[in-house]
Amino acid sequence: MFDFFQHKNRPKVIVCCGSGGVGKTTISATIALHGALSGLNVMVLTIDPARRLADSLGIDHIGLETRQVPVQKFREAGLQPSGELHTMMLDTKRTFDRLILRYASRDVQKQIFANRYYQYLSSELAGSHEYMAMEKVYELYHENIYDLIVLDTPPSRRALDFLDAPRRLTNLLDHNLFWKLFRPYAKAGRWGLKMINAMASPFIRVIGPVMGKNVFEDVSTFFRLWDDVLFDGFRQRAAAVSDLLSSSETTFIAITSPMRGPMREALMLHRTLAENHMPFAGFIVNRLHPMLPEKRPPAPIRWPKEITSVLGRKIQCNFERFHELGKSDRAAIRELLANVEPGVEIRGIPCFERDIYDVEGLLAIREKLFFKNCSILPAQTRHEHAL
Amino acid sequence: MPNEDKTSDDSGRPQTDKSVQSRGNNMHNIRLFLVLGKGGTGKTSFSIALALAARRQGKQTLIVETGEADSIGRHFNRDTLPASPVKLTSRIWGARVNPKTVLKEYIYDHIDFTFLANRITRSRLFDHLMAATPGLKEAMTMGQIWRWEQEHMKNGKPRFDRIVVDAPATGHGLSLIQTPRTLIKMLHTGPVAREIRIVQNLLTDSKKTALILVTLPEELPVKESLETCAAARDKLRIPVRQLIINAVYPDFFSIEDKETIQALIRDRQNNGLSETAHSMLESASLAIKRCTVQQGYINQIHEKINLPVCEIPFFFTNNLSMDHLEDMASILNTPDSDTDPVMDHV
Repeated sequence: MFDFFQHKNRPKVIVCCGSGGVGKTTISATIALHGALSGLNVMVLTIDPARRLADSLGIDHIGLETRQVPVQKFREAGLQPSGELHTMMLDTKRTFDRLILRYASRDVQKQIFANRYYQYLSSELAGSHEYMAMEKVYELYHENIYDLIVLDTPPSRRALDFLDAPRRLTNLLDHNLFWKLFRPYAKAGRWGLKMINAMASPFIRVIGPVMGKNVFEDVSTFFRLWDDVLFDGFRQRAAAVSDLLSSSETTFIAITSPMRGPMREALMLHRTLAENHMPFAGFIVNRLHPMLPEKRPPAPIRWPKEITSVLGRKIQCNFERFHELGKSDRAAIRELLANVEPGVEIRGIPCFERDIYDVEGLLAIREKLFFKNCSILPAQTRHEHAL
Repeated sequence: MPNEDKTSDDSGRPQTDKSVQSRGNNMHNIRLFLVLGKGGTGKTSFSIALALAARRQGKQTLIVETGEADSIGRHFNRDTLPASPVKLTSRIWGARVNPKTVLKEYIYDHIDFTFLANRITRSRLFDHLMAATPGLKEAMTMGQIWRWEQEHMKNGKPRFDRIVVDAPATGHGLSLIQTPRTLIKMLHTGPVAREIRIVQNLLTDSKKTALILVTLPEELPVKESLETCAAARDKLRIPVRQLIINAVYPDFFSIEDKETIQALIRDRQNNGLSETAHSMLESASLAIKRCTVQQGYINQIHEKINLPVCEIPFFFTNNLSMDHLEDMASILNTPDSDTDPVMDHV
């Protein structure tokens, strides 16, 4: 059972990772709700919430500003939270802009914001979303307003991207390599574009015409500004963000579905965290199908007369499909168990009959995550795992 | 931006007209399929099924893996696909675009001095250039796809009759396809701009290229599909040709069936049925409820998007096998039949 909030040294940051389509947003919202119900002042940071989930939480104009879920919404669901639940949507560009505002002089700010390469870097470059999500967490953490920050990580095909991307971005912005590459252009920016050809290394001279010169000019201008004003601040900040994520204040959760692809990603995330000595809270296997008895029922069932023989066959056939599906889920969980050391937390969330988009639905998930003992595993396997 | 395309309809008025293009059979001669969709919707499975469907028509198909994804190989019991096409099975080829390799080749092609080319491609800076230059990876990817499309054998026939691109998820997929357009604007002239124009001509040629969107009958995927359709039409100017709704629960209980089942479940205490019988009824009820929820989303799609739609049934497994993918291919080849491959024997 996840019991983060019982400990004295409970985490202050919970990062929910997982590949696209496994239900990260819903689970993040549930964890945040549980925090609020446990008396904490919670912030859940999300990327692109389901509109209905936002609506039902009373935060219909979901935006970049902090919104508190109104107490009324909890009362409607018969709850009296002793804490508070706040939400906020992540905006990569704005977060990046705030960094620039923090470290650059007014004059340089203007130039950077107008730079086309900056516009690309801050909104589209792979890694920026992930990095800025962490940056926002760091910022909120230091504001020290919230007891708990839950981060719903940006959608990506690979769960690992969230860990890799920031490293890629900081490497990219690394001082020496870039300075080498773009020095001629940057110098030209200062001394006049005429100097480009004279100064350019063979590298730029050859690649430049192929890629187009204006691209290089944008890039070099950006790095000149970056280099002069921002670099040291950014590097220190990046190191601090990275420290927070590896500290005991933070923990990671791997969210998956019983499907093979997301499972593999979750396992890889777990492994990478372990290799880097980063904190890991456990796996959540979402959207499990009903676990039907492993043995097939003795056929045929004696149905009452209102069930015609055709309907009886349909029911039988439908049941067999769910039976297969249950088997498939079980196999997925067994494989997960086989690949993690005993004692690692694994929680299962069933596939509900309807979509989860309101407080009541979140409460149903909360029940499975934090209270009921996990019934997802066949008894024998669970026993082996406990050993 | 003016919008003459009638597929958009903000009034929410149903415009379903399946006769417009009788569900994709006008796509017989398409050379390049671009498969887009949110993560987890089944783009990769669909891409493979598309290749299997083409195989039955005697076509040689190349499946192209892009971005960070790496799962096609596993379906054919292999590791990561190589950067040049490799035969996966009869008439099906696979390759994973590696933008770095493509750029290297490009540099060797365009620089006469090998020592200079060596110096460039072996430089540490090369990796950074790759990571930092806007659109470079995407441009190299699209360029490579175009080159495969152009490849011919000695007898003059194209090497691949069909190319299926399993595009990266969500926004990355859209930006991949948008890259040539963006670059043309940015570069205007020069050797690269000329070549990109040729790639863009292939993408916008509706006789050769079709954009396919894969979605699930769930809230977020449907929401994102509506956005993607609008972006494809307005930004890319390459409208989505067909929408695939994946993992649809089969609707085989009639209204009377549903009532009978619900009545028996309500009457649980008195009907004297065994535990097993009850769990069978519960399973039926679960299928019925999932089906109703999904149907709501499917109706929403039909109300808001006027596109040929193909529904692919849920196969009741977490790991699609080659047999499942063959079943999927059958549905793609005969999209109008209402067969339920799993339920045929009922």
